[in-house]
Amino acid sequence: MSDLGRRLRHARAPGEEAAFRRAHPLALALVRAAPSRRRRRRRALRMLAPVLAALLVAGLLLTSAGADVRSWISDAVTTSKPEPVRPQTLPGGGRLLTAGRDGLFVRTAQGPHRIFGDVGEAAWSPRGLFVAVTRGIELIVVSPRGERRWSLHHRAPIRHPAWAPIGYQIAYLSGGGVHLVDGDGSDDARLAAADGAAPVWRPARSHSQLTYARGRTVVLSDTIDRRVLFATRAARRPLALSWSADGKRLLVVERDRIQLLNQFGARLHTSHAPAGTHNVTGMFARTGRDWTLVRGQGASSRLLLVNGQDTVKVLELAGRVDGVTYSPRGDWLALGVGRSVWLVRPGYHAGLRGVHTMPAHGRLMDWAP
Amino acid sequence: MVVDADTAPVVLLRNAPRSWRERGAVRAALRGDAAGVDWLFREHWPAAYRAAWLIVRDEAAAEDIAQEGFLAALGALERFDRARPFGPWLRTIVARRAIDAARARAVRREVGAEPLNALPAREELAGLPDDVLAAVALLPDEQRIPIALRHLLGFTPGEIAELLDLPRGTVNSRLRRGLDALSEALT
Repeated sequence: MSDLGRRLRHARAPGEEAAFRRAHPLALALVRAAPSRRRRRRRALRMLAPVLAALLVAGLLLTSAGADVRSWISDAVTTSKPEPVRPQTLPGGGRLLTAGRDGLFVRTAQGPHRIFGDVGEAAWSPRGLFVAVTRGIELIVVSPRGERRWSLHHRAPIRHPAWAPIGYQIAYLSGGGVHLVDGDGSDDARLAAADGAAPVWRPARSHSQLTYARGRTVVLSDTIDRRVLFATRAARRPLALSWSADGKRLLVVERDRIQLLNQFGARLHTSHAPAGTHNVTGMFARTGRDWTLVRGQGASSRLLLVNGQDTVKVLELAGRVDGVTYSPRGDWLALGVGRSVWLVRPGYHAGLRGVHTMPAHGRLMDWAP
Repeated sequence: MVVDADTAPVVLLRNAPRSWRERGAVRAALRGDAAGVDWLFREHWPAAYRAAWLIVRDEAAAEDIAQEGFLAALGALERFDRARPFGPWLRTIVARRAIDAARARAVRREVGAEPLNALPAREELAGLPDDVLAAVALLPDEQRIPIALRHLLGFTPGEIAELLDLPRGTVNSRLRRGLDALSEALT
């Protein structure tokens, strides 16, 4: 080996030690999760009879959610199987909202119940007292029991309803613009041109600031005096926007990169998706500055939990993730995967013990106290 | 999980040649023994990460590449020809992934007007604690990547030519120019 080779072999690259600490348990978990060939053969012989019986029962009992889970287990870097949630539980507590053609469902610890008919999207009000739902060109606000409170309609479809943190206004997209309406259905007005990503409110009770995308530009506006506070250009159309709990970091997810902006719109960090992968969505945790990123790779997805600058890759799953939301206390993360909801504990290490899954009754929307 | 290298099986034959220990580790990994994976990881992952970092110069991307490369190698271990050493096989997987990532990034750089803020600035690279690593990291792509492949991962110029889809003569001249630039920078 050349002298240069020896020097390079003994040098430490930036981030190497931290990366080693993260990658090492994953590698060991992989070998624990994947039984060796010999062990598999022995186990297969021993288990053949009960397995055949179990297959008959499973054929009757397993849901599509179970099917998704099984396909993931074979590739997982985890040590235990995700457990289907029992009908009468909801890890993380609160009320989980899913919406689809089957209707609008609220799932609590008492199980799921349908509160409204076919809807497009839905969002809880900040304290979970109301739900804003879209149905084509209609925006409807209903109580958690499904009683219609008020509605409005536009000529163009309405998408992405978002309640302000103080609950005073609802923002939504329609007809190439972002609109605002008061929580009681009055004063519906267009704020500005906007499209693409769902608008997000900057979390602070002392001001009323909304972030939205206009083409490739990310804009923060004051909704009271309509001033534009910043407009930062992205390389591509943003797919998702999310503020940190302290309102000082904005995550901008584009297809091939993510950016972290500060409250003034200045870029703090940029990170590109590895070749062959693309970003799907991302969001900050409800507290602190941890955030989550979902990347797609073909028909599979990868969930990355990011703590500051450290990425902890936790799971890869067969299937596409179409929604992410944190539990009210922020200790659980719900992922919409096909017709299932996966419940993951971000605080756990990469082994992901205790992942749960359950049928979604539509697409995952929101999680309220 | 911490594997005690003094008590684990085959891999622990401290006085045995490295190639024996590696074969023992591969066999152990195939049996599902964490000690085997641990040995392979400690032995080969750091160089894989370092090479990936030298090629893409981005910590997050390097971590992804090294980690995915190692997990892909472990996942395909049953198809691995155990008569051959594990290191070069892993290094080839990592090198291909890193080169693909660097190429994808280069394409984006050509078409995108945005600055690549994720890449470290020259001043940051110059501030690395290891002067040799810093000097290599500061080389342009066309010299840095062949240098990393040759001197860190141990590929021959012919193998590098194949990996980079370049004529062998071009690889040799880039290696030469890179080494000249390094010796200038380090003296």
